[in-house]
Amino acid sequence: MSIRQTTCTDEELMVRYGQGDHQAFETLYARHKDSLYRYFCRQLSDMNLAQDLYQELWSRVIKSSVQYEAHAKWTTWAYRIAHNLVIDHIRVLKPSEQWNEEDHSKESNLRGNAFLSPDKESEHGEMAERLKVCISQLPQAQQEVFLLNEETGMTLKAIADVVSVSVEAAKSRLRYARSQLQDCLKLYRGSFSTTEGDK
Amino acid sequence: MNDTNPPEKDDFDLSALYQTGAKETPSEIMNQKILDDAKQASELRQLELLDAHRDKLSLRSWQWPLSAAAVVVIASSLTLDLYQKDELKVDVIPEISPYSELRSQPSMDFKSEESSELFAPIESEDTQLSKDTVPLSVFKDEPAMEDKKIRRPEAAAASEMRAMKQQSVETTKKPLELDTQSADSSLITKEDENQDTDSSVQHFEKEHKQKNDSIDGDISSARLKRSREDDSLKRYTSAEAWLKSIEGLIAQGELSIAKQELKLFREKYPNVKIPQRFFDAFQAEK
Repeated sequence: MSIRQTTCTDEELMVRYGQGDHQAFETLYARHKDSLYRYFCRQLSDMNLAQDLYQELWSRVIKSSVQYEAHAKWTTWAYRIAHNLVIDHIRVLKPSEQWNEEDHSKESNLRGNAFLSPDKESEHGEMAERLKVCISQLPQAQQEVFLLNEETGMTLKAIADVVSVSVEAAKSRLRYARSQLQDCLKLYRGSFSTTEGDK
Repeated sequence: MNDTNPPEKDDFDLSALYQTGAKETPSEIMNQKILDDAKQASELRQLELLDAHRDKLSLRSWQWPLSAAAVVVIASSLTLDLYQKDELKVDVIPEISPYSELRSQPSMDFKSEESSELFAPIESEDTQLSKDTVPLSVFKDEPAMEDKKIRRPEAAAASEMRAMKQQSVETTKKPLELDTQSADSSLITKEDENQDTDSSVQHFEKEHKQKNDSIDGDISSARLKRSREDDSLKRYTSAEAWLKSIEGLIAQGELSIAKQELKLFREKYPNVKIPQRFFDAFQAEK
């Protein structure tokens, strides 16, 4: 990987790859593989499906490299593909999820208790793990907006472009997602404190 | 994000917590598979591009030869076409026909039926040239030759007609010079022709004598002889007129000149049958 390629923008790298520069693709892949992988993993409970979609995403990127034109940011383009893949495979099959207390408590019982081990992990680490559980319990729309915001640092406008909603809708979804994640974590901390007090 | 609500005192730092827990990464096998796919696709694409480039190059390599060949074909066809037209034009160049000279001396009456027949527009060059025999309507009033239709070379026939046409153009240029008396007698008769030919022969002989006086040596005489032959050839393109002039010479007793003229005539018109009376006259002289 040359120094020049590391300083190139994603769009330039993609164009170069379309022109046959394989090293450009390696650079691009190294930049975005983790965030894109987590984008799928956090939204899908099925890890195999997440990996399949992740591979499918890169396959589409590779195929589209010849026709790629840098009209928008590469991340916006790539996450749009990822969004469509998720929508195609999950949202159509699964009815729109709604955040409710019943699901939350059920998820907490099913997942949360499985990996929470306050004795072994620090509180910060514990809360980070708890956040994952809380994220998985968010409605898909809010979940996606939150993940895009955290993984890529996209602006609300870019997020709105990716998920094909208005900026206001994206803003609203992000606000609700954050609010509910805070509530989820507070709820866990309350229960954690209670557990500690009992001990 | 500034758009979100300001964090409360006991709120969690979600971003920090998220980044702490964001440790999932694709497996090395998966990474390698995707990179291999990308490399393979890139190589395939390069091969395709190379093939396309080769195709383009091969097309380009044919581009100039094909263009050049097309240009050569077009140019040669045009040249051939022009050459053929030029050949026709060369055939069409009007010769100075003694017939036309003879006919030009008397003024023409264009209103008369015969002159209109004489100077009727030529049909077309091809049809003129394709005719092996040309009816000599000019001499229809004359005593019949053995063959009414005399076989003549094509070019000579065409040139005669063209000379007639030229004559008509020349005469139309100066209609005011026409003599009214001669216009009245514009119908060409046998006597007129005889007189014309005789007078023209005499006129040319005088000219030649004058030239002989002025030019010394064999070269000049050879030139004169040649010019005389040329004159004869030019003047007597029409076989009948020529024969009549020869007959006139025989009648005048100029047998040597008549023999020469007859010799030239036979060279010019090998197919025309010479009347037996000519030979009889020569025999009688001997």
